[in-house]
Amino acid sequence: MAIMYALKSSDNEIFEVEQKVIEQSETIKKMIEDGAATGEIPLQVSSKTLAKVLEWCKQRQHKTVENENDDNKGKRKKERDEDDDIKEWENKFSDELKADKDVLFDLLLASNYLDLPALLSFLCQLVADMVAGKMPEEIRRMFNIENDFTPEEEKAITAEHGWAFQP
Amino acid sequence: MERRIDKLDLISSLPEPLLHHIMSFLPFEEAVQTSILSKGWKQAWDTYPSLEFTDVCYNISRKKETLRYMEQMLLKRCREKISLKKFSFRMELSNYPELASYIDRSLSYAVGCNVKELKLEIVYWGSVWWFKLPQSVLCVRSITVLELGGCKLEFGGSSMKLPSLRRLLLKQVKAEDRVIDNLVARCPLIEYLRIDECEGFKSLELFTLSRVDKIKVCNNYELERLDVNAVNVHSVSIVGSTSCEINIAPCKSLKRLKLDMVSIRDDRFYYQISELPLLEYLSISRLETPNLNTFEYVGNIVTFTSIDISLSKADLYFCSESMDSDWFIAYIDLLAKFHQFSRVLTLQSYFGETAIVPAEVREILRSPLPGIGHLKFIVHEEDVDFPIAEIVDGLLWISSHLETLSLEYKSHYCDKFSFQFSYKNQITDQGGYPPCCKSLPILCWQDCIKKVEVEHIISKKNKVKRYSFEDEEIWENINGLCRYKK
Repeated sequence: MAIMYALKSSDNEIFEVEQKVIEQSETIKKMIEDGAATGEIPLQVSSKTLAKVLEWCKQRQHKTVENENDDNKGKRKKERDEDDDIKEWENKFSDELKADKDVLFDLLLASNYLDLPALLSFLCQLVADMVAGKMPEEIRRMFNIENDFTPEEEKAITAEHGWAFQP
Repeated sequence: MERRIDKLDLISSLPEPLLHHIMSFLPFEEAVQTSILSKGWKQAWDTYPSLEFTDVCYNISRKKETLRYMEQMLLKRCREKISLKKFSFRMELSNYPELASYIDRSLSYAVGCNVKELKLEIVYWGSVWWFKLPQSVLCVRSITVLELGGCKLEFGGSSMKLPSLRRLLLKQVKAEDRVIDNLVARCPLIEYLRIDECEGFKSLELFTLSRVDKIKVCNNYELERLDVNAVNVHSVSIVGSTSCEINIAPCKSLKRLKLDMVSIRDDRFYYQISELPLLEYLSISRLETPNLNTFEYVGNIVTFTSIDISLSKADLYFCSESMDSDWFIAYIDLLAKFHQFSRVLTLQSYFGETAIVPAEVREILRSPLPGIGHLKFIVHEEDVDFPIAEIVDGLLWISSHLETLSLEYKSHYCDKFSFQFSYKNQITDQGGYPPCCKSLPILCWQDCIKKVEVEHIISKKNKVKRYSFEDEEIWENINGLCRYKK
């Protein structure tokens, strides 16, 4: 029987999760090890974001368990299929986040706070891919970045970093 | 909580380490460009701890511009006491020794920023000058990774010490005898060491490396003597040291040893190998074999069996100018010896020629690898004179009653074939050899084979094809697998 933990989101929703799934978070793992995790574990993460975090963790967990159970025969084909499945799942996950940037940034902060390095890198890469190859104005529009420079300041920056702004 | 006002700038409010993390996935110039987005992003750029300048253009004014900008950014970070995680610089400077002063200053600022990872590569095209590495770089407490290319190293005196260094990579570095030895000896925590294509020294003595785990010494053509005395090293690779005397005997923890294009002239080296108690993996490739005599040295490997060495894997890659029957007899003999002390064998060949054992050799010798079960064979170049069917045929003789064979081509589409063979039961007798092999060594497998299942992976096209052949059609169908037919 798997050990279950109850996670409480910042808006007081309870999530029942297997220990193995949630231990991917170094923060929670430490809380469990320190014995601080009796009863509900309160987290500074909204229920909507926490649901996404758990979706990620379960997918990861699923992957490691299946690999452990594999015997050698026919593993290569199975692994290839699995890789395809994971890619597909990740693409869907990315598309949802691209469409809802509030969740994307909440998730970034949550993965940082919960110490989930794989998710954090995945999200940072996702944002970098969205930014790459775009003009500053496009990036500002995409993320609602307010240009808080005066024209003079902007000119000074372009002059200082002119090296990087050449075509 | 869930629905915020549309106009909120969420990304700029992320903590700086997260913005740095995002920037690390951007090409360096684009990471710089984010400084124009907003004050938050500019602040993040000003403290960004990884500076990477790779210049691939040949335009001198652009080079100068890069150098000036680099110096300015490093100076700024040095003044503001920002720690540098990484400083990486690569530039072609064949005809511009006058630009070295920019690099000198930049390095001194990077040192002032307590840089942890330092990568410096100067590229020359037929140049006569060398960039001299400032001594200050070789006494930095903070450096954990140091990669140097196209630099000249000089004696650093007693102040030379890199107390935190874990990884050292030297490529095309010029140094006199004992300079590298001395440097390495003054890196107490070093774990990984690689010395590639360096010059100016004839001997290397890599001593007192108590923590070193992995050492690679590749293509240092002037090297005449290499001594490695590292008690804890697990893996040593020596490549292309064709006239070098090698002493690795003190490396008693060695588990993996790889020798590629190494010319070994005396037996003492083989004796050294036999004295390594923990060796698990031995790979010998492209041994210089001007004639068969070299194989006689290899033949000394027989002593392995008497001292009971067992490798879990061996990888063999031989080539020779002339592969006549005598060569094949020596080769088959050698394979049989390897069969005794390694459970898993990988054979490599340039065109596949080492698989195609001539009929006259098959008539007088027995299969060197009977009952090996699985064999891996790598072919580096596909060639019309060495078609796949003949390679498979040869391998089925070399390892009679082979169950599975993986055959990999390294050229063109990187085709990989996995064969699974099933045999007619009644053919196998108690003697371990099928009778057909005794009476009719040539083409024996064609008489006793029942079924072949093939998986063909075309790696570069991401395609997989599967076939199953039976009885009379087997040979013809295997022949049909290859692009080239005789």
